[in-house]
Amino acid sequence: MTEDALKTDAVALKETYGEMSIAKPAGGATLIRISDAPLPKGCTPSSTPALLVIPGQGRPVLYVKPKLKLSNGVEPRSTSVVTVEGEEWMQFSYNFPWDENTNSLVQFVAAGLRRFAKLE
Amino acid sequence: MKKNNLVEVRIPLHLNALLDKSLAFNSWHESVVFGLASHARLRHKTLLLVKKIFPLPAEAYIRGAAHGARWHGRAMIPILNEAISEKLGIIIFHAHLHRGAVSLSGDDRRSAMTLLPMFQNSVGSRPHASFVLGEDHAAGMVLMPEQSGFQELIRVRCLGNAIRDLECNEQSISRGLPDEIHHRQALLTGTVGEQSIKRAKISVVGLSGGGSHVVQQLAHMGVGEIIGIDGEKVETSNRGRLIGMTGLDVLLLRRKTSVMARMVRRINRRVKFTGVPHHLPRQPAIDALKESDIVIGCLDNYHAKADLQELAWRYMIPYIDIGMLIRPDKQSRQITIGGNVLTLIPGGFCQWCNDFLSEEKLKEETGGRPRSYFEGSKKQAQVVSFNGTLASQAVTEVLKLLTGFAPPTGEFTFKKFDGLEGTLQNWIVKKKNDCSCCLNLLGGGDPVWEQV
Repeated sequence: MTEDALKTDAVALKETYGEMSIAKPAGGATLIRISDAPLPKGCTPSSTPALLVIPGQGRPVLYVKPKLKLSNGVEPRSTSVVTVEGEEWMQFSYNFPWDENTNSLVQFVAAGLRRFAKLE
Repeated sequence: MKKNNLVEVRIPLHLNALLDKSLAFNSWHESVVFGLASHARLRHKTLLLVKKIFPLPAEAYIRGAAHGARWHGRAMIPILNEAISEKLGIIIFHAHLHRGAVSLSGDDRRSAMTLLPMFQNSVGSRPHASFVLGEDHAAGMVLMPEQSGFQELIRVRCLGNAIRDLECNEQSISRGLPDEIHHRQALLTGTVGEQSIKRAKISVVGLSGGGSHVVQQLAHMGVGEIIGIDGEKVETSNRGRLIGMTGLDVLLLRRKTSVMARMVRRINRRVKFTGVPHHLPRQPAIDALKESDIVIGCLDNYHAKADLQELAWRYMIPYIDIGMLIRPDKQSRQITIGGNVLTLIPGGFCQWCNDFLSEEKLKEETGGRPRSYFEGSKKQAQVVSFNGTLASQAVTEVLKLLTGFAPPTGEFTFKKFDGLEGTLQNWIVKKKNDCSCCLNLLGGGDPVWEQV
């Protein structure tokens, strides 16, 4: 993802999700932390901090905080707790097409979080 | 001054020798070395994690009548540029190489009061500092982000084959006699070594076959605090190898941390035990680990070892890892009983450097799928006596790090265990120059978040 595209998408993310911050640790990835991203209706909690890791090349990765429950009270399957930059995050599986030339990070985050609307 | 104002500077193994050499007194001036550092905030202290050092070149110094050092401001430009680009704090080191207390001179203080705010203007998100190092003490001034006053309660920790702490003058370094319990241990470790043991905070991650042995021995050794990290409760199958456990613990569904707390209490009430009933990398486990002086990993899966490796390198914590594999082959009637004890000193080799950790090993645990599919390690053969051998060696490695009783070997090595032969042998390993863990994670500290 180019620097310009990243800046444009960061502004769009801020307009959509409100408070957020960016870090660029060693290794070339960019981290975007959204303070309070809303989850699909019925999930508990109703919103969560979210972390978007944008590597130098390839598809971004989205994380949320652990202990999330779906609207039926069940914990989502195929998740695991991992450490990113010394902090715990929940990694989860999702499957949707994404092309950095045509899709935006706002679409990526929205599609990722929609995974929790699906009951298991 | 409050205890939580302590600033601890950690210098990794690979930079220690260069720093010492570069700080040696020149014929007509003190030598100055610049360091670039990240930082991390803990509950009771702030860590400054030195990632790079830059000795000032000879031509940068200005000849003058004074005994100290003066240098051309332009010599700092490349250092300042790198600090800005990498978002790192700048540390100025110089030395007063004698035993006993050292202090910043009037010139040193005036120089720090001018330069550190200038550095803060360039990189406001990291602390900046000026230190003078003696042979066994250090002193310094630290300017924290968004502050204008200087902190002077500091410690410089040099990470090598032994951990060498240079305390500042304000901290009392107790030289009391060893207690009666450890009188004979002190014949090896010495009075100063005993004080290091009593101040040490050691994390043990994984409290089953290996970890319970380690906790027991650390309690006997008399360390200051043991942080036991394990999210599991005891099961009947643990009774074959979990030291200190009883049948009643299974009936009462006790946590492994509770069993360890009881064992430590019975051995020595002066040893503090803090149980963290969570698995790594849950946040309470990460937060507890960050506070440790040394961490011992007694884990049976590569994913957890990878997490521990990352955290140890990020916060520059010496990490001792033990691992064992018993492979009974009923068909060929051949058995291999192997194990390793790795002492990983930040700045030395890591587990990724020598394929103790590899992407292939991680993939094998998840069947090639993402980590979210990892369901725990397979049940492998475990025998209490073999665990005990590795755990004993791990505790000896702790003793070496804390007291420096053993001379350095001069090479990177690890201990390889052969359970059939009953031997522990030194095997030489190399540090990989292009290891991404060592290049990117070492001293990473806390990320610097900037509001958008």
